[in-house]
Amino acid sequence: MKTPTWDELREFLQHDRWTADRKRSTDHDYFTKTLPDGEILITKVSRSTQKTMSPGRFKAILSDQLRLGEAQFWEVLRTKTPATRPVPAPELEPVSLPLWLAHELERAGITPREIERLDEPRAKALLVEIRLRPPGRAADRVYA
Amino acid sequence: MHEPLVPTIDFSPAKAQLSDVMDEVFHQHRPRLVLRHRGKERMLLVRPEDLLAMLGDHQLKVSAVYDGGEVTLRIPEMGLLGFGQTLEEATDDLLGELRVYAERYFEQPARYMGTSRAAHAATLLRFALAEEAEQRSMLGLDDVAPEPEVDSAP
Repeated sequence: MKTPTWDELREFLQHDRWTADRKRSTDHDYFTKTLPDGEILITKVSRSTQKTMSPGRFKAILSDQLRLGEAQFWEVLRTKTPATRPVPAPELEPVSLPLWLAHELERAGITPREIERLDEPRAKALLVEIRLRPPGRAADRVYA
Repeated sequence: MHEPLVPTIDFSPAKAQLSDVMDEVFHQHRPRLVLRHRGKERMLLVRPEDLLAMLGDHQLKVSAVYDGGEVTLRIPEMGLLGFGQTLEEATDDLLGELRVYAERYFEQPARYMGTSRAAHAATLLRFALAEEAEQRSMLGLDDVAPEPEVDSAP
């Protein structure tokens, strides 16, 4: 999956007619957009302009904040015209784990790289296995 | 309009006796409904700690995305994301996002209450009134993790 730089995301927001918010954090700017039905979308953009982001993060931004599919995002940048919402095929949500589960796995010594390879059923199964291990046994590594 | 079940006071006496009214609300934990224009306009005075207890638990549904050495935390129902290189960084960022959202929300409540974001009001008020440690616990991070379901099928 091709992912944008923060500059490209900023450019997208300009073409899609988002409004810069006066609220700012130390390293992000906020933008809002009010849809014709009154719904309010909110997103933030890092000031690390040329830095790109992981596919998982891009999917989360698309599905949770921009409410668009990947194709529509790049189309807005190509045509420099706003997207039409609602889109027929919004972006599928990224693979994610409940926060408590991710936290428990990290506490059990599973590395972020290993957690990255797990969907929720596999992550839960791994946690069960870890809890059933005799005390003192080193954590087995996770293999794809 | 039915008879209020919470103790009431008219606006003018409330204004004249504000110190006594506040004593009752704060020290006696007694909410007061202030009425103006013969009850057409009303506001509720309540101690924040009491309101927190009345609001009850509002656990946020937070999920984590691990990808490419980044951690992204999501609250999909609110459209909020926390970014970081680690779970800890992303958690701090998400807490910051919730604070910005709550501040924005209660600055312009009319803007949000007419949308599907109206459903966030109670949770955000709970979050806004809570101490920092309690805000963190609303993410579910420090909870005792529930026992994962074990598939008992052969």
